[in-house]
This record gives sequence, C-alpha cells and structure tokens, in this order.
Amino acid sequence: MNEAIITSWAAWSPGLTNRDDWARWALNPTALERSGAPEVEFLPAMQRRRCDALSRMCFQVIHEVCPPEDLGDLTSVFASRHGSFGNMTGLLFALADSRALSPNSFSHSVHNTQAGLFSIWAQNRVASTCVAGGAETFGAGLLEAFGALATQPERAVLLVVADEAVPEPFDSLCDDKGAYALALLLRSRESASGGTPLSVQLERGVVETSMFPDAVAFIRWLMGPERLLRLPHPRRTWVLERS
Amino acid sequence: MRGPCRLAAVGLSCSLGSRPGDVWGRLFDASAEPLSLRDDLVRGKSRHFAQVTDSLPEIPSGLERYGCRNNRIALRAYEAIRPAVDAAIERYGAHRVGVVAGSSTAGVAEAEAAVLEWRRSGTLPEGFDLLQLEYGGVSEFLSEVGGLGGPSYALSTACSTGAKALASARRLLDMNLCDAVVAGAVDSLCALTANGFEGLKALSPERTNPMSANRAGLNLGEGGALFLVTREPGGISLAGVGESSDAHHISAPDPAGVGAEASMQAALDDASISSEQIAYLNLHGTGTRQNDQMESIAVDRVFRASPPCSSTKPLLGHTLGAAGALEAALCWLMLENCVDGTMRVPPHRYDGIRDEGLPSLDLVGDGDMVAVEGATYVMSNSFGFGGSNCTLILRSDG
Repeated sequence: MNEAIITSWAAWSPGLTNRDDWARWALNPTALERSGAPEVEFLPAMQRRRCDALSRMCFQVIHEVCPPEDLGDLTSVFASRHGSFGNMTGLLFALADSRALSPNSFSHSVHNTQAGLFSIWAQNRVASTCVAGGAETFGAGLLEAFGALATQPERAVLLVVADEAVPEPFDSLCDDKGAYALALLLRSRESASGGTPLSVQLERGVVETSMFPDAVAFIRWLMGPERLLRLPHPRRTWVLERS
Repeated sequence: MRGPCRLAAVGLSCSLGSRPGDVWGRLFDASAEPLSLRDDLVRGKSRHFAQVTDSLPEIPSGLERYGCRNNRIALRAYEAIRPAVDAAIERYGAHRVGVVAGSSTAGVAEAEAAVLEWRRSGTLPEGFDLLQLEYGGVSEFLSEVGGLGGPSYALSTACSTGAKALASARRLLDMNLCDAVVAGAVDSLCALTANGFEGLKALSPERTNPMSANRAGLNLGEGGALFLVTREPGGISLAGVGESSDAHHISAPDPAGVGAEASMQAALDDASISSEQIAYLNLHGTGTRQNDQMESIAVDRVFRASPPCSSTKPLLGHTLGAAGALEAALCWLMLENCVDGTMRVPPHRYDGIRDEGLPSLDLVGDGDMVAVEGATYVMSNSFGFGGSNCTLILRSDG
C-alpha cells in the first residue's frame, strides 16, 4: 500500500504559528526563521522543562493535530534529519572543554528523544519509530508511516517531521537552516471518513536545488490547488499526489 | 499483506571478529578475551570496551565525504553480503534494492575531533562533513557502496535500532516497494556515549556480569551487522516482530517490565507461535540492575518455563544501536549451524552467582546444546533508551 488519508495536519515554525500565518507564507514563501520555540503550556511543568526546541515544536504540532484522548492509541513515526542537534552540539562542546556531560542532556540526545517523551506524555505504549534520511527525511517518514498503516490498517498513524536550525559550527555545512515541525494524522482508506488521500511514487532522480526542506515544500503544496508535488533529489524524485 | 521474509545473507563485524565463521567459533571459546581496557574514552577513568580489532577497509574513492570509523565498520560487515546483494541487483534491478541501516552513534567520534579543532582554531578540519555525523549518512553510504537505487534511510531508536531496522525492511517488502533490502545497524565507540553512560553510572568497572548478584553495569562495545532481506520463502526467516513503548522514563526501563513483556508477546503473536516453541532466547542482558530486573520479570511472565537463554554482551559488549542487528546475526548463525537435530547455543558468561531476588532463568552453561526438530524458532530482545522495545523471532525450516 502506498496510499494514506491525511485526516488532520498542523505545522509550526518561528513566526508561523497558525493556519493563517502559513496561508500567507504559502503565497509568498520566505526562508524559515532559525530561532524560537513554542511555549507548550499544555505540558506538565516537569515535562516542559525537559524539552529542547525540537521537542517543543514536535509537541506543539502533536497537540494541534490530535485530541489528547486519542494520543495513547496512535502508532508514531518521528522523522528528523538531525534530531536534537543543539543538545548534541552542547555535549560535543562539553567534551572539547573537558567538562562533565550532564546526564539529563545525554539522556535527551538520542534520536528517539521526542518519541520517548511523547510516549511518556501521552501514556502511549504502541510501537514508535524514528528515522533520518538526509535531504529525503520527509520521504523516509512517509514510507515508515505507510508501512505502519499497511501492517495495522485499523490504527491511525502520527507522523511528525521536524528539525531545529543547524547550530554553529555545523551550520556552514548544511543548506537546511530554518526550524520547523509538521504533524500529519494518517489513516488507511478503510478506517478514514473524510480527509485528503495521499499517494507516493518514486521516480528517477534529478539534480535540482530546492529552497526548502521537503516537509516544508509539502506544507505549501497542501495549502495550494496543485494535484502533484514533485520533490527532486539526485538519487530519486518523490512524486506525491492527492487523489 | 504479509509475505515470507528471508534473511538470505548476513555479514558482521564485532569484537569477536569480522567473518561469520570466526565469530561463530569464538562465541564458544572460553579463552577468548574480547575486552580491552582503555583510558582514552572516559574522562579520568579506565574502562573495558569490546572493540573491533580487525583491520577495516578504506572508504572507497569518491565517497570520502562519508569517511568515518562507523562507515568503515559498516563496509567490513557489508563484505560478506556483497555477493548476495549483487545477485539481487542482477535479478531485480538496482532500483528494487533498498537500505534501512541504523545507528545510534554514526560518526560522533569524528564530530568530537571536529569540534575540538574548531575550539582550537575556529575552523572545522578539512575532510569533516556533516554526512559523517548524520544518521542518514550511514544508509546513503551503503546505497553508494552497493550501487543500490531503492528507498534508503536510517533508523535510530537507541538500543532497539538494529532490531527495528529489520522490522522496517520487512514492511518495505510487504508494501512491494523493494524486492530486497540491506538492513541492519552499526555503532562505533566514542567519548560522547562512553562519558554519557559513565555519567549515568551505567558502566561497569569490571567485565559485565548480567543476571549476577554481583552485577555492576555494562561494557560498551562497537560493531555492526547487515542482512540481505528478501521475499523468498524458506531458509532462515524473520518470523515475528514485536514493538512497544514503555511510556515510563527517558533513560530507565519500566521496572515492572510491562513494555518488555508486550514486545515479546507481540512477536510471538506475529509469528503465530506459543512461547513453548522458542528454542533459545538472546537476552538484552546489559548487566545493569534495572535491565536485569525488568527483563527477568518480563521473561518469567511470557514463558511458563524459561527457555535456554543467554546474554552475549559479556563477549560483544553493549553495541547500543547495533546490538539488535548483531544479536540477530548470532541467532542466525545458531540456526545456520544446527547439525543433526542439535543447536549449539552461546553460553551466558558471568560469575555464576545468581541474583536470588530475580525470577530464575535457564541460563545457558558451557557446552549446553538444545535439541531441535523441524521448524526452529529463536528470539532476541532489544530494549532502548526512551522505552523503545523490539523483539525479533527468527525461524529455520530445518
């Protein structure tokens, strides 16, 4: 199966915090901001304190995409190119400066940090997967989400795609500079009542520079009228279609 | 639609060696000493590590951007499956062969050196590339090395990574997005994880001693295992996968083992077998009090009588993201080497002093064999940070 129904979506980037903001941005897209994170006041204070910028962005879009009472039953897929990169870079600097590593920072530097915090917050004991795929990270997340739906068509899938701004000194090595998070609530055709059907095809790769990470280009497409979205990469082109 | 999922070929590189035959032999060699004492990884302390001591291949020309120890270990593991992968390309076409390769470290060691240099000189060292640190760099590297054009991505869920990579490979086959998938995981030693685990008081000053009353933590290791996973029937297959989340704590497992139990039970259900059919269980068995306690409680609940089980981490170390793939590779070797209805299973190396406070497991002793007949099933547990659990069941048709 390479089709899913998008029953709900939410996105967040510094300065783009609601649908109206994104609709205005989609008409005249500009580079995403690098710094800022949502307040996530709906989280208990103890859990909020443990959240870095990436976790805050993820929780904000999760909170918007799904009612709290349904969060415990979702399969979750987290896709991020760099994960908690600010936290990781902090640990690398601590090592370079011969300082002890904070156990709390270390515990929250794994790529599945957001998945773990989500599971605790939502008391979700269902399978959860975390992927990365370079510039094709969004596609990797989609394939995992579609795979989860194919395995358990009756269970909705939460797909969260997010990245922080790449911190110094690594920012000079990466084109993806802005911070964003996107959450999609996906269902199989059998279990969805209404929503946007989405299918994915893989085609031959092309060398073409894109202005935004794939997930951000996807947000813009989602708000526009086009039927097809082509996400070109050197090894393959992802072709998304709403039917 | 769930089809057959054959683990058609396996390659690995770890403290016991980099050829499947070598690793198989040394699993049973009581004189093998796979640990090294190193004082350069944890600040101010000597600790035991299970490192890859075999020579590692150079990064192929043109792929220098991916150059890091982690990818060299991956390349070493890949050598053993290369002929099978090439045959799959020939048969199905390169675009039908995908990659799901996980890691929890990727090239953190190279990033440590890069940040140190940046602190000194204000510039990153020549030759450092973000692809070395990105998890996605691991899968991209393998796609480039193999000339593979199918979907390719990395998976990273701490210590369940390697097991989950095999689960994802099966889903790609079931969705008919691939006809063959290179799947597995690789991790490499680095100061970041060594100091991080030391800070959590998880590193043992001695050889790890899982399930012992004298346990004192884990030994870190490095290595990798890669499988060629296909949709062909027969041979050794991935018969069951169970995945669960603890919903308990970011760096400690649920002491009641609820997530671990759910993971094992889900794998049994997925394989459509009962717990009595498991001929051997490879424990997560890290040697920390928290793991030993919750895992033995969970095993006790899932199995009416404990199957023969062992932790191979006293030999391979805890290879973190690679552990699930490496330990599945050991299970694969057990099934592959069954002779005359007998399966040789790796002994549980520890000081022999059981923790009487825990449910009693049937820990494999030196020379123990398991009688098998017909279809044979073995199970492997992986439980990670963030409460990420995955259990695999491998099957041999005998």
